[in-house]
Amino acid sequence: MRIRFLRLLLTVLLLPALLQAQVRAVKGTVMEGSNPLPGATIMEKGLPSNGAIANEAGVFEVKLKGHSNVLIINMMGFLSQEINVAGKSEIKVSLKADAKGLEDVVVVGFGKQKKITNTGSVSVVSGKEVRQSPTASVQNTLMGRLPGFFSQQRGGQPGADAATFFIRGQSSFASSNKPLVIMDDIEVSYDDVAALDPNEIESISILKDASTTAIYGIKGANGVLVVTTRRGKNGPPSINVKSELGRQSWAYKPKFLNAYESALLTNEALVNGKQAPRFTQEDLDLFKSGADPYGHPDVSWFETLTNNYSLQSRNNLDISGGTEKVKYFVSMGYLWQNGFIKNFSQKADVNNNYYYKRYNFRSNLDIEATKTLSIRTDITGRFGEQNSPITNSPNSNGLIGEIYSYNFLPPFAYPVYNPDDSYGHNISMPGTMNIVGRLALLGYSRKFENDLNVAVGATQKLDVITEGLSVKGTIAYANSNSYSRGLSRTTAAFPAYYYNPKDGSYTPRDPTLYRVPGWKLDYSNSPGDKVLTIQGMVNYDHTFNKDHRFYGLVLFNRNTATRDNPELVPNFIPSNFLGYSSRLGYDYKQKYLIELNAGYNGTDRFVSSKRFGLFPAVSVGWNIAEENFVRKNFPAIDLLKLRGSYGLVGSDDVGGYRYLYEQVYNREGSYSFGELHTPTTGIREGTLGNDEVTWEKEKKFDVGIDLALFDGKLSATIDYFNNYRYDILAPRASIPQMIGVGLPPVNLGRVRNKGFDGEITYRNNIGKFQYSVRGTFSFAKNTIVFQDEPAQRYPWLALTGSSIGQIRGYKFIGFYQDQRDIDTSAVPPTPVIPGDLKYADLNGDKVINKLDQRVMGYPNLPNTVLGLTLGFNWRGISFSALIQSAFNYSLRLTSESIDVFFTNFQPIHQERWTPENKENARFPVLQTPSSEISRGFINPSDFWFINAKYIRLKNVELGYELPASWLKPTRLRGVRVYANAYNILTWTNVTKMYQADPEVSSGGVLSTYPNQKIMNFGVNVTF
Amino acid sequence: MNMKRTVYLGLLAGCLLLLSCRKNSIEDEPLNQWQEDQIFDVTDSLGLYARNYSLDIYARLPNGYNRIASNLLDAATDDAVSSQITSTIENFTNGRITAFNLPDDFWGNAYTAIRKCNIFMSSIDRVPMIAKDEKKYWKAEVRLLRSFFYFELMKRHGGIPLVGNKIFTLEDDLNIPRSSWDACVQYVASECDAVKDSLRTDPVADQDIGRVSRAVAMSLKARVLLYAASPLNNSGNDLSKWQAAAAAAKAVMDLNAFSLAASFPTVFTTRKNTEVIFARQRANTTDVEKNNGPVGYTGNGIGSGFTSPTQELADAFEMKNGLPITDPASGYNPAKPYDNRDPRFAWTIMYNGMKWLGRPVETYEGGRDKPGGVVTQTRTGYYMRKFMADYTNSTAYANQTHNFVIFRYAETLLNFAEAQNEASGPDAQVYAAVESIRKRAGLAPFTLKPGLTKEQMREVIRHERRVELAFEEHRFWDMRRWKIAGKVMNGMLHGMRITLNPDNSFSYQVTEVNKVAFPSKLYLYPIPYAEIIKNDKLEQNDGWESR
Repeated sequence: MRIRFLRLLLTVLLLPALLQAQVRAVKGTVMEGSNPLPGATIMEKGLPSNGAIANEAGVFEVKLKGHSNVLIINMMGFLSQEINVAGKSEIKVSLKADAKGLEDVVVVGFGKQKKITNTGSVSVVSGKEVRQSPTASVQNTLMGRLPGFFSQQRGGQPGADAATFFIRGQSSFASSNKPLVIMDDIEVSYDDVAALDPNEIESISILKDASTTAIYGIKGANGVLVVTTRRGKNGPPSINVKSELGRQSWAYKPKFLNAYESALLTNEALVNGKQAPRFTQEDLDLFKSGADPYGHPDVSWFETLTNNYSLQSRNNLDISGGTEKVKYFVSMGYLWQNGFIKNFSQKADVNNNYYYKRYNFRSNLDIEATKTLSIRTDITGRFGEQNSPITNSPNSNGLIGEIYSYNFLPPFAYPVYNPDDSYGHNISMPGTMNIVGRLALLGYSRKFENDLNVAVGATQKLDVITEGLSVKGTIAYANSNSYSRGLSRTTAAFPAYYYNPKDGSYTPRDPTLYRVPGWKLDYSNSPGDKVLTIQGMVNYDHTFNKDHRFYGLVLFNRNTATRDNPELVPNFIPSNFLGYSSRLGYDYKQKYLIELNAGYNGTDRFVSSKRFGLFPAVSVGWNIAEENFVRKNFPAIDLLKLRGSYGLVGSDDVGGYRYLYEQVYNREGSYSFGELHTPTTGIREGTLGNDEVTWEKEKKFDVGIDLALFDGKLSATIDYFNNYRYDILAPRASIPQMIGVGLPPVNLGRVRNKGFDGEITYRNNIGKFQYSVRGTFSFAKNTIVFQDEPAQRYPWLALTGSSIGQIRGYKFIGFYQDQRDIDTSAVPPTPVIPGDLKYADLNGDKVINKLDQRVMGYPNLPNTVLGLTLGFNWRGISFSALIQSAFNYSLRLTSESIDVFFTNFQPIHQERWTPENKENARFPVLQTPSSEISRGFINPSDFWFINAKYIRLKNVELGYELPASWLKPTRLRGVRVYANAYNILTWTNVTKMYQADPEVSSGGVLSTYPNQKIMNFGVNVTF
Repeated sequence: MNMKRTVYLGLLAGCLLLLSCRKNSIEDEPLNQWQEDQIFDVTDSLGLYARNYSLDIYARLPNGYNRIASNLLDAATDDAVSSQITSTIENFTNGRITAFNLPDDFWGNAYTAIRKCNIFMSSIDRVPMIAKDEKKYWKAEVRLLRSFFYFELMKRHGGIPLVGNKIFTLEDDLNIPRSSWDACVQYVASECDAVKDSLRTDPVADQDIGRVSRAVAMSLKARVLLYAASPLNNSGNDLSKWQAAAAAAKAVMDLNAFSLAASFPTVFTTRKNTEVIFARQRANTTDVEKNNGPVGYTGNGIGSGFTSPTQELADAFEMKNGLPITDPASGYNPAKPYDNRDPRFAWTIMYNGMKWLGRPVETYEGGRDKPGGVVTQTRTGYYMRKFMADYTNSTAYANQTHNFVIFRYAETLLNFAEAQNEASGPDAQVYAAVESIRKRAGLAPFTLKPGLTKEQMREVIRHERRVELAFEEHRFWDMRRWKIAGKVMNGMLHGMRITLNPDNSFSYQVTEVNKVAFPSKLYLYPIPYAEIIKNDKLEQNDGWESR
């Protein structure tokens, strides 16, 4: 064995020397009509490792070694061809476009399948398409490209801008709805998707139905996202260098009123609240005239703190190629994104701005060790560095919240600098420190993330035993570590002065502080995540008598993960997954298709007798277009396939405590007896155990149609699905608190999730002008069929029957117009004044209270997504655009975003209800303290919850490929210059109420870094 | 050769499959976690974990400082208002309490604690403790705590469901009706009697300070019976209830184990003193100072000033000579309103000009501690001073004992005086009890006018309770049980607007600061709506149905 291993090693190391002497050479040219066709792969039949790739002129040369004398010519988008070269040394090959998509393959679990024989529901996007977007996280660009993919990008902080995403919406109201993520057959974490370098991606697929997900068994119910990375191809080394520079700016820029306007509204609200006005007429005049910039400052904090734009850059280098023995793809990437904060810290020589740096590398090697044994070695790594300022914000919602905050940064808060250049301060805001001073002086915290993944696999063909049989084993190890380091002040303070313009005096904010305190270093690290995956697989694929194809696989899969998962307490316990999966398929003449999939697997989340479950699925397909009567009568139909699938899949990602089946006692609570305080930690009874606890299950039903017409000019895929999630694990809500202990989750909930998705593509050309239009649509609506809840007083209060994430709220029916209106209408128990929000009294008891709240609106995740992709190619010019739109979701922001005296005054507050502006009021009367009923934070209602929608030009790319003739004198093989952009234009109804991007998350306040608009320029050079 | 290789590989793959199927790499149980049998361990002769289990029950005792949205419960009385204009504590005073919105919801916490007590009592016998008395003490302590938690619910809601020794499982029927108020009183009082003799006697050893002792059981009984005899719960004024309450309080006095501490402020800042019968033990902190101290200091001295004592409370303090400020003979000078007052005034309320952290407090308009603008600051011209250590000449706050007193001897005396006065009129015992408190306070003379009527004495005792027990979570319940909340909590509460004159003197003007109202249904809290709909048999209190 050792000798054999050494030999293998030698093979790898001495490869160039081992290239075998030629036997007989065949030259050829690949053409499409009269044009040469570069890029086709040529293989010798029976010796798949022996081959070549046609060069730019379509020319290739293959040295034959076997005995078959047949070459197989393959090219994406073209029909494969076999040519007998017996006795020939030069051939011409003419490939025909694969109009029907017969050769297209789709990635399915643990393998690939021809699109035509696939019976499952899969959507694919190519890496090339993903690379058109300058966003740092790949999932941000997928919605609208992949039917069935739903996402919302909640924030844009460098290094933390990844959208949350779901496949076909949500099905569980209690557990995670995060899809399983598989990269090159190995499970990786949901967060790893964001850190992918787009340059490494060959394709991204989502698996949506039972037939494609059942093979993942207990982990498949939320759908699966499959990433395939690029691999080397037979041919000379191709070196590809790409460099991009981009400009980021806020996708939505908020506007605030100036000091004078804000002071007016402040006084109005105080007077309405029967309090003394805060500003005198003299104050107002000074704010208006700006004559007293120190005593009566008027600062636009947004302009003061933020840059108009910040830069980002992305650079990639990849080398790929291969020989018959070794194929390689090596890629390196560097991404840098800067933050929006103006550079205040120059003097301190410390970078306090937000930024993100990411270095990716990947090396994918494929080695043909023997004629039947191939080895795959993938090594990939990522090093991330995320920086953010220590803002020491007095506002609990951080820096962004502070910029919006009336309490901490009103326009008249304080002058940024005093006349003597010291930091300004306001004596009536003793708790706050000058924000510019904080951003300049207080330091940063920096988080480092290092990931290293290795996957080694070997495939042994066993045609000796029976033709079409092979075994494959893979071991993968993933390790990620993170640590953070920060530089901060020993005391978070610095000298600031209140300058009194009347007598020119300076009063220190803190009389004991006369200098900026020194630096100190903070450091923390985490134990790191480790995931070990072991897979063994037996594969079989053989066609008998040309017509009967049998294929199948049996898979053993084992995975042990030790992860930092804050949802699990205690953390860092290894979680184990073990299982077998199998697939069995048959097709007759590619016409009648049937496939059985099953997973039998389990995890140690559950009691040992209840760990394993069987998840079977069946799918069938019928290629109608292959029937003779269709071929004869409807020649325009290239492809018409009906398919359907039904099966059971599970989800073990149930969250909560790691061992749900057992009641444990925790060390919590602390008390001290005696004359001295000597506390002892107490012991507390934990949540009751439930030894019946098991995974959630989902019955997935899917029917679909695949269609291609007119030589592939028009194609469509449409799916209808009806999923039923049951055994949803949630605590019973009908148990009184008198039980006196935390309730365990019970497998009781049921949710129906129905919808359809699909895509329609039209592509054609006018002469050399090739263009394509693709529309995608996704619709998924879920309904809670059952959840344990107490019998509510009124039917409109019940959450059962609503969608996951919907909440109760009042029905807005106008404003209270005057005192008489208040006296004659239903009112809340708390006082109201004219101009407050008036709500419908659903139970007719003349009192507005929670019993009048009905389940309303939509969840925060859109249930309808439309995408439109446009593209053309003409003489080296390429253009593509993605228009993305989302409909039917509810959005509400509170506190610093909108609430008076929490937020800085915004233009919408000028359109408040006043006795003079009853008709066109868009905001309730300003009053402080405000009437509770009119506060959206406490009293949700459809006044505050917008039925949100947006249409945005998500992505545009325009590129130009320099003509080959220009490059001839150089060694360059290709040069492409391009510009692309992200979040360019947005139409949304959200901004009618809230000054925020429509994708921010609802329910809370504005605390996240805003989403960014990116304009990007790049050049791509191939050697 | 090829065939051989294949066989090797096949074997290898087979081994791999077999190896990875080994079962024992996954532990069947979470070994790092403790189960019940490890807590109540049949081999643990020290009962260490069982003891720690009981600590968590103690840890659920109420902590009265700034517990409701950073405010004291007393900010919902006529003694103080919250300095924050939209604090949830104001729900109590502006009519916003509903069955959906109850800032002082103790329901879940109480039943959780009661369950823990039941588990402890049912399992502790398993533990083979060597020190026999310890087990007896612990069991009795926990049993008394159970009654304490019941009483916390009773004073809020009236009669509540009693669950006995039952430890519920998911299968049990939890549709349990409320017991009547009288039945609950009867239950708690009899429990106090039952455990009394199994508890440590007073005073306890130094290392046991903070534990439930015999006097705690007797004090709880005295308080429960006092509440039961009070107008809210004794509409027929059944004098036997007052007699029982007086007897229960007298029994505590007759223990002769407690006495009034010499210095009033030290009661709250020392762990061991003769006056405290029971306190929630807390760490040494500066949180009381930080939460309630004046806002105008910097660094460590910066306070949040959440509590604004009212002019009503300030005016309730007498002059040092024992006469109310309304008495023309008292010597009260409206131009110098804080001079020559009851010494407890300065120990309870921080007023303009009082020295604190090395400088006078400035609560005049525009002063450092009332600067105006948006920062939270006093609304009344006063800050709370009680419970804090003496920082007159300090430069910074230091960690300090801040136990929250639950029972102290002064209350016992006042409980006795009140019940005895109601039961048999203002006899010498009543005079003695009240006067001893006034004497300790430093009033001179401390004696009361002889020959007071029962009604006059009632007012004297109520007044004394207000100033002596201010901010200790008594006023809130007293104004309910006396049924005076509808009167004192109806209309405006006041503060002092102080202006600095050019000659550095001050002008004082009483101003309105907060409009309060007290709907009569608020004498008892609603039961949370979420609980009402989960239990068919649970009846809502009057006036709260669907509100």
